[in-house]
Amino acid sequence: MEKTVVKIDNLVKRYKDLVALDHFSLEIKEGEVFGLLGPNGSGKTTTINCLLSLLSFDKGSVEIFGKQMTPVSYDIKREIGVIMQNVAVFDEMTVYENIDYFCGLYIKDKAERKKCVEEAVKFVGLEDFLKFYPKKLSGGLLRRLNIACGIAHKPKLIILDEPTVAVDPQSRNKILEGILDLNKHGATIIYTSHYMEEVEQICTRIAIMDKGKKIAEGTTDELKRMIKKSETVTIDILHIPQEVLDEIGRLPHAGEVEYAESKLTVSFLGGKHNLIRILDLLQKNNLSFGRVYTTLPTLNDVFLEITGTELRDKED
Amino acid sequence: MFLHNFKYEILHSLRVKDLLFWLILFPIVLGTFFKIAFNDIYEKSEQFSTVPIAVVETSEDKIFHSVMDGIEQSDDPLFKVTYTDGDKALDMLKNGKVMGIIRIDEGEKSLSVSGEGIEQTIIKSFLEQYAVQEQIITDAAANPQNLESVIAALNSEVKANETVPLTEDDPDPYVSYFYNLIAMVALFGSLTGLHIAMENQANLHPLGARKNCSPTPKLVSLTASLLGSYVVQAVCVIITVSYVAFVLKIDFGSRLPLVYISGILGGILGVSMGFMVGSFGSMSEGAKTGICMTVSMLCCFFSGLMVANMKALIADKAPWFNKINPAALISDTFYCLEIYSDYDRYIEKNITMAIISVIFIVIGFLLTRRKKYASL
Amino acid sequence: MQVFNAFMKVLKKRIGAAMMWIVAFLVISFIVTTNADAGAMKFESTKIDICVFDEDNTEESKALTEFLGKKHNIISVENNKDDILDALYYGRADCVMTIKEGYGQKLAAGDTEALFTSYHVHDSYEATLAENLVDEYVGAVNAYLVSGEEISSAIAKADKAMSKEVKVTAETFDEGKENSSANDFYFYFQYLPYVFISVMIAALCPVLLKLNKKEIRHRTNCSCITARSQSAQIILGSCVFVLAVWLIFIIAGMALLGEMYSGRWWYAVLNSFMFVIISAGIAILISAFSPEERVVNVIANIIGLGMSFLCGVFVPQHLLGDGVLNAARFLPAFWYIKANDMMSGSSGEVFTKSRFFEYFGIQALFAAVIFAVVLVVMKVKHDKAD
Repeated sequence: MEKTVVKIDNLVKRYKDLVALDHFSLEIKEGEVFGLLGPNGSGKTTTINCLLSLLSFDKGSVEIFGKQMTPVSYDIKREIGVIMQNVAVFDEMTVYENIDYFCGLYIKDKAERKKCVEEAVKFVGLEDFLKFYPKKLSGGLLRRLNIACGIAHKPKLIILDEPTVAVDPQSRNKILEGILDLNKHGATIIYTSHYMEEVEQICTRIAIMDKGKKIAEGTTDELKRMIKKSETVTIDILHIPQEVLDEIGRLPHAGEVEYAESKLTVSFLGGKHNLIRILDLLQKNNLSFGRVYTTLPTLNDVFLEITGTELRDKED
Repeated sequence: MFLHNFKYEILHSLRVKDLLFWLILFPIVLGTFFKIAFNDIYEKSEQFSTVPIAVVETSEDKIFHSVMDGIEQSDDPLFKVTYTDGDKALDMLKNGKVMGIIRIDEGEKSLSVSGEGIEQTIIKSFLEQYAVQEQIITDAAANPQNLESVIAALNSEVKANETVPLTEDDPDPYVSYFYNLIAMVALFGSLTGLHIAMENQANLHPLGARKNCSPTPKLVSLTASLLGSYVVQAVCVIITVSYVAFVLKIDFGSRLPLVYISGILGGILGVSMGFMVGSFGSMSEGAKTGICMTVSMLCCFFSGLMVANMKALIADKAPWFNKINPAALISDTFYCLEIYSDYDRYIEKNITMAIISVIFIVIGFLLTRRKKYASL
Repeated sequence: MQVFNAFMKVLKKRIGAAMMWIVAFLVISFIVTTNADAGAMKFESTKIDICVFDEDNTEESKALTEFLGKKHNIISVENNKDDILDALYYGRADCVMTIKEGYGQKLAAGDTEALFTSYHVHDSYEATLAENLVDEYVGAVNAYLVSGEEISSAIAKADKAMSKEVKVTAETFDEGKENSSANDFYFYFQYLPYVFISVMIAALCPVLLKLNKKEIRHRTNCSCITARSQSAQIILGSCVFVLAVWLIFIIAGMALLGEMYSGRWWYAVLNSFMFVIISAGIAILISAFSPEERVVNVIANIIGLGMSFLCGVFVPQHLLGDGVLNAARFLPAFWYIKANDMMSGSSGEVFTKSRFFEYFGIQALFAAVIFAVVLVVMKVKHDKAD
């Protein structure tokens, strides 16, 4: 049985009239890469801040490594690495000094710290920029510095709050690879984002939250299974009689059937042999067809179906 | 942990170049301005110079004329007299060539001036003195047998007064401007203090959030940062005092080391004040900087940075304020060192500064003590 | 009017800083003007402040104290060395004098030696005046004694002789119709240059810096607003702000002193208007160099305090050394203060319209030069950017 690293129980947080977290519960096991997904303003950052004991909350409890988390739980804090949404580094200090400073808040021993800092630098690939001041760094490099400051002390639990906002694809991939690498070395990861592909790419388990509530939780596949839509089959076909279309509509699990501009689109709500069944049917009716392809549902579909909303662009 | 924070606080402070500019270059520039402005102010305002006057004789007064001649010919003449007619005299007065016109008409002497100042008063009191003697002689003429001895008595120099110097050396009144300059530098330390408070608060600064997540207790990192700023601020004060004392050659009396100590204590007071202001509420850094600046400048104003006798005015109207105004306290310690030979007041002022600093720090700590925030 | 609106919106964010200066200044003005009699801040008062300790306590010594009280202000100071020092050091007392025990007897006996002791911190006109006065008084009493008077009548006669005032006429040479006793306006206007410079640099500079920020400037340049219209709107915004600040001070001045400007003080109002324009010019000039916003505060203080000290805003011009004054001629505040001093008569210079407009014109020239430099700097920067 894996150990529980984070346990959030029935958390309630109100900002005056606004309920930011509404009886929110969460459990994260050791070794997981846990994705916290939700539209802007859904309460992701609030959850993180409550988890870190930065914010006060009205109800509920937070346990980390099996212990109650409080502002003075320094032994817990020592094992956590935090990468905030905002870049939090000193403009007046160089890349190396920044990492060393923050690492120094965790590790006293100088020799050990030096090693950690150097590893962190290597990890985010900032070797060539040690003497640079943050203002001279590009957006992607700055994000990487931000991450290095958070992980240099080799924490067991790493919390990343939208670390890839405004980062180019190369840097983003580098960051994501890095996160997986950290995970491989034994760190548990909490990752918030509203980039579906990212979360889908790296997270072993995902919780979707909206309006302060957790509305779904599970692995990517589990989540996908939760929604009705399973796959969409598209076939290039020059001609198809109406009765065949009707027949397709009667296939098991078949949902919407559409034919336009020589393209047949059928969406299925589950089932395993949908493609075979359609192709069989078409052959039986002696209809010739061209390209056949199916698309699986993405997390985005899951997200849209569950939250019933487009991504809202509201400030957190 | 503590040393680590301490080291980085100093490093950080040294890199905030514009703040260093505030704390070092600014007083040097302003001190130099002071020095230039007050260089010969002392001679001009506080020591005698000859007053130019015009005399218009409508009717003749031989005695007066000869008295004036006598005055003009003395070694250090009180007046420089021009005899002229009414219109020309007015013209001279209008153009500031003379400070007053004495008109002699039928034995009556009157004075015309264009303003009221010390020179005018001198002319006036001279005339009054002259009139008094005239009166006495007229009165004494009733007993002519005594007239000679009366005149002799009038001519004998009366030295009824003994002046007692209160201090060993002759203090320069404009030195208070430099005292206040140092007070200002000390209080500008509030800008450093402000940074510490802001950068350790999760709700004010992302860095604060990050620091709050670390296992270093807030008390430790805050204390280390405060001490770091004290050191940086002390260096700033030391540089300023040294510049004022050795480059501008302002005389602080014989106890210069104590001047440094009080200056540093003042710097600590300034940093602590900023620390407290920074801990208050969730205003933006700009607003808090504004508050620190305005408060510092106001304190200095009431201590006499801009108008030297402001402190006297306060001493008269609201003496309690001088006792708690940080700028006044700082400049007063220098003044105590210069004026008093004993240490009672000096120690009293320093203790007051220390107490105020402690109050500021405690308030700051109490405000930042809370570790959770209602909102970020 | 988009740029203008944006200007106002950014300004609104910065108005706090400006208001802080404005309020602080008004509070100080209020304190200073309501207490203007309390110190040497008022030049028209040539009564000096004397503190008398009467150790003799006889008819004679009381008569002397009374006599001094008629001529000057008697103030009381605690009779201990520290308080006396404080009073003298801070100029609260000009002279502290002790009438020694035995004064009455000695005086009656015609002994004029060592009747008083006086403390002083440094030599000054005031202290010398006071010392001379008592010498003169003693001399007069003595002279009457010699002439055969009794001590009491000698004192009475000396008092009477010395109380005779010399007729003093104040020549006004006035062209601006002198009638105002409100010399308080003088102090009010005296300190305006410091405040104007501070307010303008603290509030106007950051706004201009923000609007001239590279990104915003580029974005605006891409829009369909012409460069000329853009500049015009910024200038309009600045004008509105400058005018508002100036009006606040002019109206507050009246409210504070409780009377309407009259006579020559209208010239002071005009004078201040020219100076607020100069201050705005300085602020615009500084922003043309686009410094870091944090540095703006430093510049505000250096220019504000520096110019104020060198030009006689804080320390009266007639007290400043000639070398300083010669250098200060090249600063606009010097001419503002010169004009202001002339209006109150504190510099001994007589107020004439032509002289006022001379000083006013010099300030206008300064303003023109500053704005010309602004244009040059902007042009150079623009060309460089290309």
